[in-house]
Amino acid sequence: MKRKLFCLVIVLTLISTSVFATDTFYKKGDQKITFNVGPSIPDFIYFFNTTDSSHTKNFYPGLEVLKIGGYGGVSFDNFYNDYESLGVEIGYDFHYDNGSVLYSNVPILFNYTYTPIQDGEWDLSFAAGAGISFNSRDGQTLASLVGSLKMNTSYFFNQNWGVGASVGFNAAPNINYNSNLTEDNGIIHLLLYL
Amino acid sequence: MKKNIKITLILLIPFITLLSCDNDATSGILNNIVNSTVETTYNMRYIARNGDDLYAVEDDGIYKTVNNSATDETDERELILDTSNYSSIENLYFTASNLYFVSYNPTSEEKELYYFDPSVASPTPTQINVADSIYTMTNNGYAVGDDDNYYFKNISDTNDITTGAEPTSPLVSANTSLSSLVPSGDNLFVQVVTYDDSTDTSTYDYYYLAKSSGTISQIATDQDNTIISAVESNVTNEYFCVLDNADLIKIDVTGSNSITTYYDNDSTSYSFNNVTKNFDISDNNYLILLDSSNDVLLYDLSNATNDEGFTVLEEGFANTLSSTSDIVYIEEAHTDVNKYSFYVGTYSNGYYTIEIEDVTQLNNDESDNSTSVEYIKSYL
Repeated sequence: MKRKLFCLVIVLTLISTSVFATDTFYKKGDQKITFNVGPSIPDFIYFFNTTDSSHTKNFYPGLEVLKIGGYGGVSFDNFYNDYESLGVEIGYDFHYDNGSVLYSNVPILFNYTYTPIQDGEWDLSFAAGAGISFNSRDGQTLASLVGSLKMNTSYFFNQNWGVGASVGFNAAPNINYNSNLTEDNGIIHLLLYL
Repeated sequence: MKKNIKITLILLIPFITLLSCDNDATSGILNNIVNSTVETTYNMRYIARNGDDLYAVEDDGIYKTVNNSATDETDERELILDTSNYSSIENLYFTASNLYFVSYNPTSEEKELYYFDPSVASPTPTQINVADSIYTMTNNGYAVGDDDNYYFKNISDTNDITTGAEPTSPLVSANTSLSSLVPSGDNLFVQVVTYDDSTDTSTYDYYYLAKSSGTISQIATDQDNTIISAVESNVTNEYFCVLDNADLIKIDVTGSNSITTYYDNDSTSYSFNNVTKNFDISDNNYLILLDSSNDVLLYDLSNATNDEGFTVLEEGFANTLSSTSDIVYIEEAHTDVNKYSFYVGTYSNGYYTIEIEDVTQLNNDESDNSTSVEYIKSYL
């Protein structure tokens, strides 16, 4: 099943590439700066184990433990061919928990972006990123890995300016190497609407 | 390009590992998120107890705990009286089968004393007295008066009012005024303040108002400080008092009316704001004191007048509460073999039980103290 889905994605990608390949908007060496602002919805927190009594289960629905927050970020992309770009993104994501304590994370992402649709007015791109996220709550801080997937569509007024909308998620596995905190190891998953 | 990405990720991993190790917290961020609870401020101004039932005067009514299990942290309480028709409730006291409270009537500018049976559904309080000033309540009675006079009113089981102790002549004169009435058990400490314009200072005269005998006796004159809290000693006619300079004294209200300073606040860092209980554990005599930072302290009277006489019953209890909270009520809950418990009511954080798990471990070394705090009821 997974193999068929993978093949389908590849085929669709090749088709879309061939359709627009004759008239690509982006060229190798083009650069793009994007500003992202929007709501961030906590999706879930998953603990890798439940041996600690401080949490009684593995899975916690996000909205049960965190409130809807926001995400803001800025990213820079550099096309290394007409469809693919590499870039970096820094953002700030915040939520309040049930005790009205602020939880925030600052992800620094290295993104790979594929833009199959690009006609000068409309863009459709898919981005995958990985990097580091600085989590903090009530004086506690923890650096963790973070992974991100995003889909974006944009409309350009002219050659240089456009607006768009994105949907995606950030997933940050919190891994503590302190032996007293290994029971806290888990993943926090946030849906982003930008 | 792929090689560059791999190198970047490989470099990131040790960096993240180092940062993750630099975490000396006792619980993790994700744990703290899922365990965070909704905090609600209830503003419990006065608290009364009937057995295991706890009553509290809050902004909009008088509430009663529903389940007093020592391990029950659920947010359950019951509104037993809507007080929106009463402008300001200033006291709460349970005696016999009734709750008593004092309300200020802004129209008549007088205080009114009411009672009702909290076990009755939708109770209607009955007004039993009106006076210019109703100062405080003690066991089955209350003090009433104005700047010129004050006396006890006794309340019978049928809520009939009888006049109790009444001074034969006013204790206050043109140069003095009534300072405060401090209840202790069935009796009161009465304080008269004398203000000196030339030196801009006040001095205090202490009187003792014995409800049972109806007598008022002078204890001391020209004192520099006023009594803010008093508790009956295990020894008859002796009282431990905390002064407004945070000293701890003992007053003998018979014979010589002697005053003994047990603890001079100038000597160490302790600073009391309440004394609440004198009791015996394992043949030792202790006082429960609250200090200005809201820690609950145990004072060993066997080391009286010795600054080393303190055992911190619950170190950092204030840190358990929110910074704005305040202990408004503390009372002995129950004793068991080698255990001793106290009910603690807080202004904004609900009720706690402070339990000495093993009294044989009590000593003057904080590190060896075996205590714990657990909720008997939480409004958190």
